[in-house]
Amino acid sequence: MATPKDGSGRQGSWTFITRDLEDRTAVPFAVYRTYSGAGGFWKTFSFGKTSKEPVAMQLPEPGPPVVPAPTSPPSLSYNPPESSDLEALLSSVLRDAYRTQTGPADWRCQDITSEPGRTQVLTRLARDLGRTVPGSQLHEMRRGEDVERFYSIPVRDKNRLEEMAVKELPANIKINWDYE
Amino acid sequence: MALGMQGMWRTITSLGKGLSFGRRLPSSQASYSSLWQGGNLEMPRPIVLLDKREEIESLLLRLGTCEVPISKPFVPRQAWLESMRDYDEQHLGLVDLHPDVFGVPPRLDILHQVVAWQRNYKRISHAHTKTRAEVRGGGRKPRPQKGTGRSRQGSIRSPIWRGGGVAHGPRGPKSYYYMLPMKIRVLGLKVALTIKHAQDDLHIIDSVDLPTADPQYMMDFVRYRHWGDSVLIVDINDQMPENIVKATETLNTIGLIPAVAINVYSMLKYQTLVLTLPTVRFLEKKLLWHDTRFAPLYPYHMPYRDIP
Repeated sequence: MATPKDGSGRQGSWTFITRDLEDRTAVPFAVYRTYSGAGGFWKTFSFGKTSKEPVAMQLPEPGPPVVPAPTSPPSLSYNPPESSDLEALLSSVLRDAYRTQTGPADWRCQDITSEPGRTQVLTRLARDLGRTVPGSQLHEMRRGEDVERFYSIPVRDKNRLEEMAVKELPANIKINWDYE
Repeated sequence: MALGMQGMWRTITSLGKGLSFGRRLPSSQASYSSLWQGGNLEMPRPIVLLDKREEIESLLLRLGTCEVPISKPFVPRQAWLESMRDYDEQHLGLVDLHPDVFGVPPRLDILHQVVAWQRNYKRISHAHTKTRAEVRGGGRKPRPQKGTGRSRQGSIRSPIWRGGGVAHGPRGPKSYYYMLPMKIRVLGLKVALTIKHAQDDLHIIDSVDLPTADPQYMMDFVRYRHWGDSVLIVDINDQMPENIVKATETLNTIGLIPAVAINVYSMLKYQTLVLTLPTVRFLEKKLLWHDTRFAPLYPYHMPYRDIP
């Protein structure tokens, strides 16, 4: 039986189509493979050279400088300030943003749908109070009173179990964190 | 929201190219690209931006409001314009979102239909069993009809025999291909976008520029911004900056797709959806076009399969 001519050293016997005009004994029919060689079926395929010279390991090149991460993500909890402080802040922010417009006397009735005052109001309040109006509620902020209502609602970050874990408990209460 | 579809599936939906097995509806000939027939079929061009502050302002000036007019009683939804260049760039401006795309009623039944379609239309089941006629052997009557005291049998390959054929088993490759009407698929995209926005899982960025190609920066950034466990980033073109491609290549919770690859399955699979501003305008334009088309996509004298 003919052996493969590409020098890969495959085991098993082959009958393969040859275009060599001098060799008239090749049979141009089905290609047979036998699996009797060492290694079985899959070793009849060789995917590249099996013997390689040892190559020195190449360390990866140092990449661009990594932007250092902040220490921890900001907490999502929000405690509103005192109502008087909140009113003072809101009135000053709204008056600064809509100073040139002849609005109503009370800042609560001030319409905040017009730009660029709207962006200024919402950005300043997000920065000063530490809580941003989420996208789903932005279209509901139409007047000063809507903003006041939003910023007077507290937000809790942790559930009750996590709050109990960090707070000091009386001596007769113990939380068992292990599951058995 | 208990949709029951969050983060459990492993298959990623790719652009459906239709099946070669079985006949196809004419409405499905060009796969998802047929969905983007908003006037002309030209692809959106990339936007080259120069200086950051000015470019953001010019971007907001150009793309901050909806191009498609909004009819009178409805007001646009809004979202913050953010950036991925730094951890704290979260309030670059406000972006208007068309209410007929980002404020439609939340049709969960449409979402279910579209997701089921996405999972099934590419499916070919190759289960095949042999019947009693196909199982080898069984041509001879094994014993005489009468006289042996045993039950009468005609063939050793009948379905009641061990080794016999299967009576009502699966027969051959079976295709589960079907096409939902185009407007249902469009409505599915609108509902998915609306629900993402309503649940605060939608973020809009000016562009996918990153300061570094480090995947660790991407993970820290996502954690810092509280963007959730998995993020799907959609840019307008498939040619993206090198940094974002390298940063997200090895991460399996952050996906990066062009705008034409957006689909309901992927939007529900990833917790957070992040769109660039040009992508938002592109989606609005393409999805709203279907609201005002009343002519067929191709003439009625050509073959249709789904008209009664």
